[in-house]
Amino acid sequence: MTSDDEKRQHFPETMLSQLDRWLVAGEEGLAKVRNHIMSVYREPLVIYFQGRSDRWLGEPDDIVVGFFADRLGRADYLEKWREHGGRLRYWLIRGLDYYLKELRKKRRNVPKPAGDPSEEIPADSEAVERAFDRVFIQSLIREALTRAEVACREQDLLEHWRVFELHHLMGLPYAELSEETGLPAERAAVMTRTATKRFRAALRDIMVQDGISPELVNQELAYLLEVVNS
Amino acid sequence: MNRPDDTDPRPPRPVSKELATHLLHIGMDEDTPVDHLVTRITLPDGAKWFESALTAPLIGDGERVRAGGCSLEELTDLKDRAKRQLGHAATTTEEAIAILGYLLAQAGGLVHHGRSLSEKTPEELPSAFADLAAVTPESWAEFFARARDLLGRE
Repeated sequence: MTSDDEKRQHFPETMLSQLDRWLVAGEEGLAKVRNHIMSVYREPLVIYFQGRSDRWLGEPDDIVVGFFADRLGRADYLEKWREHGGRLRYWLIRGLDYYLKELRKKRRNVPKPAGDPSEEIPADSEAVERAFDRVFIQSLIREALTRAEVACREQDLLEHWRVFELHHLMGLPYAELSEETGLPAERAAVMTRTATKRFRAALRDIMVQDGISPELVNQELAYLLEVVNS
Repeated sequence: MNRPDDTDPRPPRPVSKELATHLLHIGMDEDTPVDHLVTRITLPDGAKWFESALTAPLIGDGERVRAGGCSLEELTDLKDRAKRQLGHAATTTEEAIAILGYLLAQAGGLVHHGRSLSEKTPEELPSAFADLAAVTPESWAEFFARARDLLGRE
């Protein structure tokens, strides 16, 4: 067993999330982890960076892509997060903070344009996390919708997904939906429920990948509901 | 349904505050064993699976239950064994067969003996029967729809 293998073995098998399984699956798995992180966290981090006074450091997209390339290119970056515990999204915020500090040092001689401090996200960590979480929620939902649609497509349930979209995303009651699709309302309800399960599973899986214990997902969802309505 | 080509790239989905609230609420609901059973039946090989589940060791001969060939004692025994399997199911398939056996026994009691097998009818029974009526083959759909109607609720 190589030292890399030994390091990877410390994830307890019974608690493996999809992300953990990717982490122990070698280079191909790591590529999937990177894709997942970029897909879910890129936009929230871009918006987080846009709210900072040091946005003179570069274009937000370039900064975040540079951060991912630097940190996710390190073999132990996510292992350190697993050892540290907590939410992956907060680990990435702190990571981006350190990355920006390094960039500031490197670019010490570059003149800074005047910034508007009033536009900054507040410095206290709770306010930063809540501001970040508002954007994260958008990203979380979009990613869960995308994954659920893919799951439905792969399982030959694309029609179920279309009914889910009409009912849950466009707000059509089953009676109207029935008129539009020609499906009996009762059948439409069952089809919606089938696709809803795929969405729920995707949403909860992403949250577990963010570092939340499966038994605490409902508690975290309650917190996100409070954030979205505050 | 008229839809753009499914391979077309789509713009990012707008997620309003109201939609986010609605979808996060959906995320909080847990799937029930009945949900798992309905999902299993609606998969592409679901009809074949349903047919084989009706002759699984727990159920024995589901067709006999539907046709009214089982006594109340036999149905109560099936219900009790199904409940035990439900509590000890190691896989989602075992769980799905157990809940199917339970619902089959309850529906058999209502349709063929005019009574519930439980002192207090579980609240979830009408919607479970309605779900099964929507996803099972025609003769079975009629059986579960009849059981739901006999409970006199939506």
